[in-house]
Amino acid sequence: MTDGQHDSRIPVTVLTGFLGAGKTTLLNRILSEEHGRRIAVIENEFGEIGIDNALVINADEEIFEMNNGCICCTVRGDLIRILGNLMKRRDRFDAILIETTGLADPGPVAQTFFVDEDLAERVRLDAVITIVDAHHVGQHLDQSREVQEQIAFADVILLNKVDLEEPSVVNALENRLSSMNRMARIHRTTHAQIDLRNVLNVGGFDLNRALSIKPDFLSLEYPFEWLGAYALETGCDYRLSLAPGPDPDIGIGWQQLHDDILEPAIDAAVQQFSQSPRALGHADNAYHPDALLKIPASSPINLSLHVPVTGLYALFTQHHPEEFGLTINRDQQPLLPQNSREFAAKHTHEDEISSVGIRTAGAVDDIRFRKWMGALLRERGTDLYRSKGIIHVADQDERLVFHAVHMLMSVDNDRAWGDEARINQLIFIGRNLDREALNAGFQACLI
Amino acid sequence: MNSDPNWVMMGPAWQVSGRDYVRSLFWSPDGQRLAIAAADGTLRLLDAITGKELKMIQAHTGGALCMAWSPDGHWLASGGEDGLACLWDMRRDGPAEILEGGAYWVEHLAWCPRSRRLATGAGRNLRIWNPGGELQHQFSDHSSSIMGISWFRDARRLLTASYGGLVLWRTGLDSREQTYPWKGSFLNLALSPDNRKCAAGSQEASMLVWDIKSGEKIGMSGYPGKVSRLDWDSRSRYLASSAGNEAIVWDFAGAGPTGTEPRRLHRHVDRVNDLAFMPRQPVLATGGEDGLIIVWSVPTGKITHLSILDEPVSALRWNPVSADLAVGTAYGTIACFNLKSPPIH
Repeated sequence: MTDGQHDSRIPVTVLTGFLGAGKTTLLNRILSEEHGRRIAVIENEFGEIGIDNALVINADEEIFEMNNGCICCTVRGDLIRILGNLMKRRDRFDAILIETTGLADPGPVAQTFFVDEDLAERVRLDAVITIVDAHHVGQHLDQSREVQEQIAFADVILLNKVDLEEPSVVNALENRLSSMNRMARIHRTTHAQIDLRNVLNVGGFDLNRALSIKPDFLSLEYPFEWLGAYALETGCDYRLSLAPGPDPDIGIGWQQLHDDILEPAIDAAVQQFSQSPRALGHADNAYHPDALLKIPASSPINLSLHVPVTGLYALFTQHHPEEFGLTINRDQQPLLPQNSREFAAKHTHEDEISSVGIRTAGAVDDIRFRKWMGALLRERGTDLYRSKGIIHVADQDERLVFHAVHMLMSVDNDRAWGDEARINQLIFIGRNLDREALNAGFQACLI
Repeated sequence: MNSDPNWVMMGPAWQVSGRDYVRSLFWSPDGQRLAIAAADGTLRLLDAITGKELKMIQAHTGGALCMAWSPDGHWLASGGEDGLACLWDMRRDGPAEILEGGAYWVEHLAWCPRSRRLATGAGRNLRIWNPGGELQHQFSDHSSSIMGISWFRDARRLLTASYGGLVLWRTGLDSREQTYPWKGSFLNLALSPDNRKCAAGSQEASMLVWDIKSGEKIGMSGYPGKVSRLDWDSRSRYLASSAGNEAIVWDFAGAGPTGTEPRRLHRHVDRVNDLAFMPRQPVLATGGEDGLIIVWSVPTGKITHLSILDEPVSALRWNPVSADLAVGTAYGTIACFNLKSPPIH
């Protein structure tokens, strides 16, 4: 139904950004580089557009409150009217760009495409592009709710004017933007110079492409904070030892590496961590690879590791090993990992807007999941800007995909899983999100 | 499907092709000419009997959005995406009077019953003109865009619909005379021919009907989608509304529709794009995205005539004098059906 390749609906791109960030520069760049195409531009601010292939329509922003049953939302009434009329032309447009005012909340624009059935048939919201001024946005992020929301809604963020700022500042800014919205792709630009493939036909609201565009979008969040790769020999005496730490327990998994490559082992460990942990048995029991252990850290532990074959092994720890003095010892000497990696999502600043990603294996109970999502959007919809996910529903061969803007949600069964690992992936971007509650809520949907 | 033997398959009396989406159709009051406003900005005049083109005007840069023939037949007004309304004198050839609507698009036009005044709606601006093109009055305190205009028979009062309800204006008064508030987004309005009731269809799958005098309102909900078209029959008894693939007709006879079930006319397989009551008859025509043109007897709910075009029907209108039905499509075709012509077998 919404196959991006065969979708004949006209794509709509929404450009947001503070006044002076470079929206008009980007707009003119799109219009001049795409000069062979018919583009309609709907503007809320007077820009300087001097391109003749564009039909420029000035719109007065009209925010309407809608009340469909228990779901409340705000939409842009002017857009419903204007787009409705634009669709009634034989000289069809190839693309529509909507430029919002610097202080616009992108929510009503995005929601407009959910509530009008005629529009949904003829146009599709492709993506929200937010352009920010690297030099000024830090201050705006602290003070302006609108700028925060523009970041939260974005599928693509252009960090513009990076030439005017120190690289260290740009790095910090990019990290900050990325932790607020981990779904968005961030590009650094000067004078809004960007390969247009990164801003047009992005498929940000396309359920089928919902996550395929940025498959690694959850990469910052893992159920473990650390991995260490150790060379272990079979037949030797290895002991995993740890001491009480700041958390009551610690989850530990280990995997044999094949061909010394970490990534498959990381994926396997993600699945391993989503399974029920094995209780720690008698301390003399040897610990075999592939099992997840939840180790109470109330007293020192000294656990024998069973190494089936000589090779490279990765040890995954839920918390950083230093916090528990966790080591692998051989003949009572701590072993140094050949390689290690940290996965901790470090929250170095206190933005109210954040992203919560959930990535876990396991089949989901369809009804429980829909009830949970329904209640979540009803109760927290105001604070949830964007939500997306791919769900593995029990006894279903197709992926369940959803995306939501505030309380409005689209759900669809799309393609079959095929050979792909059936991993649930969800992301929520919002204000004051409760990471633990979201995780627990979703875990409760698993069978 | 059932084998309903009782309806007549209509063939068009004439059919002509066009260039672009038909936004509006309007018959001259004497029923002899048909005017067509299209999305390419043209206005065309066709002969009612033959369909022969009498005139073609490039009226607007951008599309034409609306059109209205004055009740005395002297003037044809059109509004467009150039922010202008044009006033064409139909008694002689010549350039139009150009009226500034006050916003980017002129989306609504309405003649008062005695043809002395034309109302234009552009964005939040309601302007009143005389046929000479002089601005008589403007009401600029609309809080949101005008979605419909209708004059009362007294030619002094008029109603507009927009987000938040209806507003009653009186020419000569600077401010609104009365408001009919309702928190919602209206798409249109239809004042009953007896001027006692006004209906407005909403984006939120419901319709409101106000009693003009008392201000009391009744709400009809449960529509399958936004209520996009409305029309009253000439006796002000039936109110037809469309949403999704259906036309839904309410009967205001007796105690009115409160507590009654409407008649749901359901045969289209795609969205109903326009509907219109035949003058002086409880007969309703509907045209759909599916290309179907269906004529219904409203009291029985039965189909009496049916036809199908290859193109989505975008507008339809009954000839005020004969029983001819003009139909325009999304690709510019105009077809005229006569219900008295012999059926096709």
